[in-house]
Amino acid sequence: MHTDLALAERCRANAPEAFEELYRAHAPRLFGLACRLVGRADAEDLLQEIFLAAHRRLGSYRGEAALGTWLFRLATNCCLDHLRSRAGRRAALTDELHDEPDATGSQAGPILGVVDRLDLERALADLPPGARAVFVLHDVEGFEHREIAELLGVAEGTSKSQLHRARLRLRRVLGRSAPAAAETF
Amino acid sequence: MRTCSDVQRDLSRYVDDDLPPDDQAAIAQHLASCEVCRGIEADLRQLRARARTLGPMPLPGHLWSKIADRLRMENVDASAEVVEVRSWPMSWSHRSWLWLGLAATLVVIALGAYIAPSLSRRAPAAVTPDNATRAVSVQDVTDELDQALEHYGRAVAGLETLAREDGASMDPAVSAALQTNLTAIDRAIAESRTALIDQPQSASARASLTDALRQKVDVLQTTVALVNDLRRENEDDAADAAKKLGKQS
Repeated sequence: MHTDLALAERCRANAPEAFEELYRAHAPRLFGLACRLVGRADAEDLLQEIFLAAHRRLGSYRGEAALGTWLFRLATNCCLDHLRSRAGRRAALTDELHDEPDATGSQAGPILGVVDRLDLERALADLPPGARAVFVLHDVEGFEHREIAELLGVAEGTSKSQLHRARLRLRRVLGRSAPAAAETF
Repeated sequence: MRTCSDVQRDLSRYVDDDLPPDDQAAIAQHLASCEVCRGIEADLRQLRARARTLGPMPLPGHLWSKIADRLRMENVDASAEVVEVRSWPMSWSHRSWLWLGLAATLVVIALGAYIAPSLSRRAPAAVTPDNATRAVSVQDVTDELDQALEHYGRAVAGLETLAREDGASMDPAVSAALQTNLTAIDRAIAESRTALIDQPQSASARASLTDALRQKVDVLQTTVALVNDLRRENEDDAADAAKKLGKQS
């Protein structure tokens, strides 16, 4: 934490190389987050916005959390704002979260083989934005449902049900055979 | 006895260990005897575990140079915006802002120490015709204003001495801006004093003096707030202060 504060202070003082050091340390993780939440096509521009916002707001960083956590929270909010603005309305991230899950699986035993990383990334990109956000934040990034609910402006139970449906959708898409019934979003 | 549908509805929460203990146990019992639900459970666990391995992504090589360029442009734009709002010359380095903030603070302190007590004692008389004749003399007000002028003059001179001792010369732009500030204050004081001398018993003249001084103090206090917000990079508050300054000037 002491190192984080020192780096933040060097950035605030416009010390040479300090902000680039911050970028090199944290940008890969934030870029992964942005790619998964908003798609690769928008992620590069969004990452620029994230670091510009970070540069402007470093004055408010007091070291309560690790600098990486502070940046990640900022990046998450930027990504979700981007999704909302792209959809044109705030409710867009929650509209698709209200259907009841329709779990599938009349087939005995697992239907997934070894899941390839690229296949999973592609299937993830095809999820609706709200379900994708919940899956990425919970299963990829390790957020709690309480935090996700707060970020998305939905009930905690909605986050849980959406995660379940997202997992079932991925299972179906990635499965060796697709069951007839499908979950709905 | 739970059905497969009941169990499958809660399977994600089960693999996340997010159910009450009794429910966890009931589902575990069901899974022990149901191959279909056990298959789904295994797939959900694998998906969750695989997702955890999706980590950082390689950065495009050109991205940092784009960000660095935009940071440079943003810094220039931010300086230009401040100059436009305040009609002050040139751009401002971070160190310059510190000196300006300190200088403006000293000016406000000086005015607060010498003028505000005078105003607090005499302003009611200035706005109430009935007790105008009991007000203090013009000479009293002038003397105190002179003391204020002398005091903040010393403060600025001391500030310049500190700058020299620190090995740093004060930025010419800052000096110019300070001079602009002080000139505005001097002009306001002179106008108010002239009005009071012309009409020493006039309640409106006294009110004008009060208003002019308070207005200038307000401008300086807002300036200090803006400087401090910029130092803390508190953009929202700085923007509010800048807007307020624009309305005041």
